[in-house]
Amino acid sequence: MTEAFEALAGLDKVVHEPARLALLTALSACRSADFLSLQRLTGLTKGNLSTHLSKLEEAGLVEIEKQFIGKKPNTLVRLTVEGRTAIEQHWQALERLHRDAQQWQVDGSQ
Amino acid sequence: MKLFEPTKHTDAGRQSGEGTMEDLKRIKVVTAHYHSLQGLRTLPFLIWVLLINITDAGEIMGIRGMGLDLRCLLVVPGLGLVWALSRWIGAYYDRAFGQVERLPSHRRSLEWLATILFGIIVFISIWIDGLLRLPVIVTSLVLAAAMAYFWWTSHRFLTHYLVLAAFLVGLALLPLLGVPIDGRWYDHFVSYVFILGVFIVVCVLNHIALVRNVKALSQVAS
Repeated sequence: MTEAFEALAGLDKVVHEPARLALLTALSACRSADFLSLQRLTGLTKGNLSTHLSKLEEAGLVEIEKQFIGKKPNTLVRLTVEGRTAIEQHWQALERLHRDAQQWQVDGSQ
Repeated sequence: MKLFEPTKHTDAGRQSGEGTMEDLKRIKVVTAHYHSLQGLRTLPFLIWVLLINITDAGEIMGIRGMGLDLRCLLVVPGLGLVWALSRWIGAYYDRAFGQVERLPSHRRSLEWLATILFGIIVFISIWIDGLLRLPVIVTSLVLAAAMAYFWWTSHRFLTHYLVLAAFLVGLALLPLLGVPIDGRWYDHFVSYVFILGVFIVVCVLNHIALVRNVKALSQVAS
């Protein structure tokens, strides 16, 4: 069980925060997504989404491209190579921890 | 089992993190299928093809003259209307749900392979239905298998595909209940109207699934 706690402590905090994890998960399933779709997919408010995206950009996990479609501004977000690797590794770690946690429940009930 | 049901966060589920994991998987599935879940985009085109085939069927059944006139009306102005409607629906989706660019095709090679394979199998099943007159509708069974496969690959979130699969299996067994499987109506039903009808239902249900899932995800966040 100690190994599992060490693994938990070792999780990247930038990635593991629930809203950012949701954003990175959404972005890992596509090439790019605009601001509105990320808002719809995660249910975050504009302000929260903007803050989390800035943090992810600072960490080098996402690229943000601002452009105009016609006269309307459009913010396009995509994962960087580092971001894709980080979220894939994070998911593997979570799945591993999830399996371990289920194992504790089975052991505990015996 | 309810269609489009948001994840229930039970105490036990919260403790093991199951609810959160399910929500994250839901986000992944909805994002990956964001474009195909915008089912109303293709609806005008499918209805247009269906109308053309129905008028064709009308002519086969002996309603001559009317079918030809209707087809003339449907082809040129109909296509223009389809194009305009599709653009309008596309603009609605962009405005309401935003835009998601799908993963590059080399990362979706399995999806492409499955689509090509499915197309070939459907073609063969139509041929078998027309030629062999088996006591089951093979095309319906093939479509059911495809729906079940799609449900499975969506991590079992897109439940309507499973419901449709069950419905199609039921339809496939209709000849066993005494529904006649000969005559030209049968050829037309199986090869055009039936397949198009299924795709139209899929499109509408996909749209409902998108709306309901997005709503469920925003409830989880709040």
